[in-house]
Amino acid sequence: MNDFSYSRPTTTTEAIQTLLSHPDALYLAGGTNVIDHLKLGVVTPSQLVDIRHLGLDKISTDAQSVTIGAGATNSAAAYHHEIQTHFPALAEAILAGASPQLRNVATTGGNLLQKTRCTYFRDIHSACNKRQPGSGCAALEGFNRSHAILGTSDACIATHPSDMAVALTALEAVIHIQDQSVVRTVPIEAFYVSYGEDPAKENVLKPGDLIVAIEIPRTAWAGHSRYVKARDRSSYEFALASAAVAVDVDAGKIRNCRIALGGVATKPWRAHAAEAALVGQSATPVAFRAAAEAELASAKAQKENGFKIELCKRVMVKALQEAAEMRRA
Amino acid sequence: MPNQEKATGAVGAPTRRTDGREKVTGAARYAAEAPIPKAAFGYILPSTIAKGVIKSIDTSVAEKAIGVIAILTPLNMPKLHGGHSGDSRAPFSDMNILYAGQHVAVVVADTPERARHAASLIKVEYTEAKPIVDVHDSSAPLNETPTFFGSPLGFKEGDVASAVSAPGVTVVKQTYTTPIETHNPMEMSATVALWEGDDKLVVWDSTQGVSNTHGSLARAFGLKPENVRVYCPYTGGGFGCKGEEWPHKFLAVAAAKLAKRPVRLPLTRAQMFTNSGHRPFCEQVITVAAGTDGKLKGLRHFVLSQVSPSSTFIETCAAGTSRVLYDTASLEIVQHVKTMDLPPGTWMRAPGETPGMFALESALDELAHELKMDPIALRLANHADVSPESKKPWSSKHLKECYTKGAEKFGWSRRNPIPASTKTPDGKWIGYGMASATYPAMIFPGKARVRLYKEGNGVRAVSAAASQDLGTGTWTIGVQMTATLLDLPAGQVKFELGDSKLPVSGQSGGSATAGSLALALGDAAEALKAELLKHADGTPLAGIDIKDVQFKGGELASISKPTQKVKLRDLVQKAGSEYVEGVTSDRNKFQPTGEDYMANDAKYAFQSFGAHFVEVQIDDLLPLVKVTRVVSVMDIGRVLNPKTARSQVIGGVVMGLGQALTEDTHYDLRTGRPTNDNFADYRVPVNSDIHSLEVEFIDVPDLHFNPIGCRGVGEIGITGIAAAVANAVYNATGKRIRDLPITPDKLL
Repeated sequence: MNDFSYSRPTTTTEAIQTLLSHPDALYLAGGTNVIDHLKLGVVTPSQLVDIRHLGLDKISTDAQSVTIGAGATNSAAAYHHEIQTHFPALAEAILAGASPQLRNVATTGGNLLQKTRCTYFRDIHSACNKRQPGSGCAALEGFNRSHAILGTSDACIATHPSDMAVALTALEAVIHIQDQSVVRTVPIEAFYVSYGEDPAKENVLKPGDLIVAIEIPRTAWAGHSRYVKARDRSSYEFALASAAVAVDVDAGKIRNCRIALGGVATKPWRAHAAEAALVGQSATPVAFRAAAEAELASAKAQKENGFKIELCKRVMVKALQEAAEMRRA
Repeated sequence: MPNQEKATGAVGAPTRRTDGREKVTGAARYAAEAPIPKAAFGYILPSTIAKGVIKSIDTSVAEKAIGVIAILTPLNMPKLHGGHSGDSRAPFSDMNILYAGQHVAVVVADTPERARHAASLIKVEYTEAKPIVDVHDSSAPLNETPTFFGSPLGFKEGDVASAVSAPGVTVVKQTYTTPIETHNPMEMSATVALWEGDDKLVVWDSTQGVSNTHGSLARAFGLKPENVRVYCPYTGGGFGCKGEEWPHKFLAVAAAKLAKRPVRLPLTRAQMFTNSGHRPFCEQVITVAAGTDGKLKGLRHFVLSQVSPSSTFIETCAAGTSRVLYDTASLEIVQHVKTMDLPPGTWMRAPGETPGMFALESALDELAHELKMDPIALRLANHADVSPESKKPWSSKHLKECYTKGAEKFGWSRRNPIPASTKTPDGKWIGYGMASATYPAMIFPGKARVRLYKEGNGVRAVSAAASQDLGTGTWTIGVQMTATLLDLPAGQVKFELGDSKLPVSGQSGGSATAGSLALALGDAAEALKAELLKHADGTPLAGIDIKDVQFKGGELASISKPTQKVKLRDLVQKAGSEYVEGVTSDRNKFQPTGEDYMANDAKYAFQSFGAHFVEVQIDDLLPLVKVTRVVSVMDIGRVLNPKTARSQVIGGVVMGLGQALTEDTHYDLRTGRPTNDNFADYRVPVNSDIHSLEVEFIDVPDLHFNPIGCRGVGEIGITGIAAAVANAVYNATGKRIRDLPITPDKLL
């Protein structure tokens, strides 16, 4: 851990200015990722800019949407009555992640930016294009049982680790981002970028940008949403494969649906192919399985993670079954 | 030291831990928290390569970092005179790197953060060689006739080959693999060293053997034993990884000398994966042949395990399992070891038995299925009425009752023997599985003392042994055993441990602490009786034969004429000193080849037994194994304290569930570095993985073993549990998993 300074701005403008004038500074919110990475030497910021005192922790609702302040803790969001009632997949996804202690300090804004759990990203003695662009990818020929099967490249096969972001992707959340002049909104699907040549670039944030809120629109299907997660132990464990689904079923037919996948892709994975395959179909296991097959057709297995293709299909089917059941109930 | 005022029960009472309050309030000080003012902090720099030679170590930048006091490397390490173990080489004695994570330098600074930062400024240059990490690498040196503690590991009795090929027998031959596992106690190992002048050393150490550590440090640094003091009031879990004299202990002492300041040296969690041992990888092939009645005609147990170039430790899976559990007409044991460039392995909870029982008890289940026999009936058909190993009678064995009691409590009769045929009302596959459990009863030589003081109108007893409490309850049972031996209320008894100045104790390993302490305290109580009788002149006990005297309700009383008795207080009073003391004798009865109790070794075999029953539920679509119920019935002799004994079995079962379902220390095959050396990626079970666990004891004293009749309970709980889970998974799904852990991908 190298020497760094610490500041505690009182306004978002001040925080953004600090970041702009100190390019090696990092925002510090819950710290569950940043502090861990500081100790491992994965990040070496010149300054930590503490954004926990900017009043960004409010959760507000109106007729169109629910807006979660980026500084609200994961627990605050997960246990919010409106979210539990009208966006169940989001509450389930958050509670499926980490541990109560972590969720009590981790923020929703920070969760969007959570770094991969790839062992080589965390080990500064290993090659990692995400940590050190151009150094190579030790996971390609190394331990890759937990790695991605969708959206990978020859430069990186690391999974995005967040559960919450998967549910937000299925619920088509909109990210509110402030820079030195304005607050702009970016749909979550456009927020995360594909790895391409530079796996270190994970999203559209520019230097100094501060996520201030996450807005989730009310839809006909958000209330019938489910998050299903397969993992190696039943808590405190990242997903091997997960699915957030929201369905609008009418008289046994799927009128509309949203599906996103976690634990299998380099970013929270919106399953457009599966959605397209389902709309207008009967809500049956056969249709669910066909949709899963359609989505995973482009999956690429590494040496140790081929099982994720079948597991992911099953997770999708399970989540769709459960969400469809909710509709009937 | 724990407040023992609340200890109220003698042996058999479910007494609360005397140290419970200190632990949950944080008052209990573990080694790293030793009350030594002005101690500096050490941080160990690990090797990033797994094999090679250190070309150079440049500490010049690190030395100038803020707060740095001293840097210890192989270049300025004093020569040691032995004492180390675990890693066969003396710490920092050469420049060779034999495994990734090997200690390379110790930075001492005024804060832990500064020590850690300065360590990152040390530049180490290596000449790197390619490590062999993959067990399938054919270039790994293979030893087909290894020995362990001087004994060959192979064994042959009868003709297994003929038994297997005989007409009419049913044969099962299968390969079972178990990965490297890491102990992961809550408390990371730590040593705090304080020099008093040049020739006196005080150490707080997180250890499973206070007396061993004391002797080792005295020897290594050439100090008089009386000039070395080792404290260990609490050990925050050990499971075997604190049983050897690992390098960091010596580095802490040497660093304190170099820094001319006391030094606190804790290992990091990552270093607990590379510098205090692991359970080695094992590949076992079990061949078992039986007649239609299930009687075993032949059993062959082949083991391939891995050994480190800097360790002699071998995971011997067959010795504690196939040699002792069943009555077979012929038996063959073969062990091979491969040398791989990994950190040293070591004892881990039921070493050998834990992987060995997975293989043997899985194979028995497969055989039962082939024979269409109930798994319990198969085991009863092969029950060993005498020790298959020594042919001696057992001192006390109640395995059949474990099966019966467990089956009834669990509801085994409801098991459908046809795999993949039973579902819960909500559509999950449900399966039942069982396995035996076994672990030897061992004694380590050791002593204890018992002192009687006058107090009020009565007496107060204080017993003591160097010993250590790994979190198992030794503090508590020490009080209970003393109270029972002296027939005093536990409230009048205190027990001390965790200090090398106290009478020498054996290691807490091999589940030997309770039995060894029972023996040492029993003999000390006899010595106390003799001391007290020296002051019996003019009392009704004057001239009485000691064999006719017992402690009885605060008095010494004649057994044959109970009215002849004297108050203990009066005898202490007559002695005229502050206290009267009994100390374990020097007779060699505490050596395994000695007389008295252990002389029974000539007549009996000592072994604990048990049975586990497991229910699993598995979703049809998502095959995540949920262990919904476990019933364990254990025959461990007399139960000293049902509360702490139950906790030991539960702890063993939970660790066994980790072995069965989640635990696997994984190494990068190119670098030899662990890829999951932290609590997020190395999966020990979490609370939500654990459902109903029930523990029952047979509770029949084994009075051939020691005067209290107890055998140890620390390890037996983990033996057999993984097989019971795998057997239940087979019953639920029809899928036989022979490669642990049983992760979801294996059931797709």
